[in-house]
Amino acid sequence: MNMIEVVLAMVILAVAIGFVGWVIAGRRAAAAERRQRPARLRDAELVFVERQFRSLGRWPVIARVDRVYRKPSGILVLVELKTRASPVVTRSDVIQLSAQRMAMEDELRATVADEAYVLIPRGHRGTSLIPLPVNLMAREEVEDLMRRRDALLRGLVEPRWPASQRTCRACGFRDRCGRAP
Amino acid sequence: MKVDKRRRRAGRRSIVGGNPTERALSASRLAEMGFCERWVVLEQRHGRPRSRPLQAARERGLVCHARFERQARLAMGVGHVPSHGPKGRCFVATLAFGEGWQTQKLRHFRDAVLRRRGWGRSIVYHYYRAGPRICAVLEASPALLGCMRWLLGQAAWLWRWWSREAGR
Repeated sequence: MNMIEVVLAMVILAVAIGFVGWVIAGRRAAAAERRQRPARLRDAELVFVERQFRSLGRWPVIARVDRVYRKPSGILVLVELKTRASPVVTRSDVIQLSAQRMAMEDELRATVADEAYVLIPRGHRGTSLIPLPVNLMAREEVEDLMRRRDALLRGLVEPRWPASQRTCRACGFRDRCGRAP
Repeated sequence: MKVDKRRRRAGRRSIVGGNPTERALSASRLAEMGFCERWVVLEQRHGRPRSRPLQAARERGLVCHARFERQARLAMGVGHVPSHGPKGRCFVATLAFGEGWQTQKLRHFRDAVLRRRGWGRSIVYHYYRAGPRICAVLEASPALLGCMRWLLGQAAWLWRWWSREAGR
């Protein structure tokens, strides 16, 4: 074997080792991904990962989705990862996922399911995820919310206090905001 | 002065004015309305509050998201053959195995994995350019051809096993 053959053999070996590593890592990831799926998405296909969508209507939205699955019926389902201590769905999650749906529907002209999922890591290491279903808001509700936000920022309406005082406890503006009624 | 700068920066983020692309509001910013409306107004006036626990939580979230994304991208590695179907010949595999199942499997890998990605298409492009020369070297050296046959055989076997596992 001359020098070129030795180099070529080493390159082939390196590629082969890389390929084996890639296959093993992929197999593990696919198994973990299947385990983490909500039960209703067992037969769905993962179609988008960390992809940005944009709608350019009267109230334009830009949204980056974590994962999107396509059911055998062709309907798309949104899945969002949230890192928080307690396995609960907040109103913010509902708004975020609803806005994501709006952007996706406008860009892809596809049907996105009314139900989405929030995945919350279980325990400190977060290797397993708890899937929580979320019923999304209608497009009109999202647009109303955008209108209200616009009015708030223009100073046309008075901002409301949060529904729970627990929100204020962890708020970074607690000192500036004053005491909740 | 600092507050004024923040206010101007926050003002630019508002959805008022500009063309639709510039004034597009992100879903995560809209979601802040679900947290607290007063927070939204104060954030526009003073900028995002910075504290060590918030920063730590943000970093934890970023790490978790990166892992979540990496896992999904790896899991998506095995996909269906694109609808336009397989095309082109596999020089080295054809030289090593003829039209055996190994060649079919390696073509499937090229179409299902490499052709679906930018870096993969780049590899395929360079492979097609260098393929005939690699074949010439392999033909001249039976030892190297044997080594290549063994390696490609293992790769084809691994891919066949992996495709079956993923298809379950």
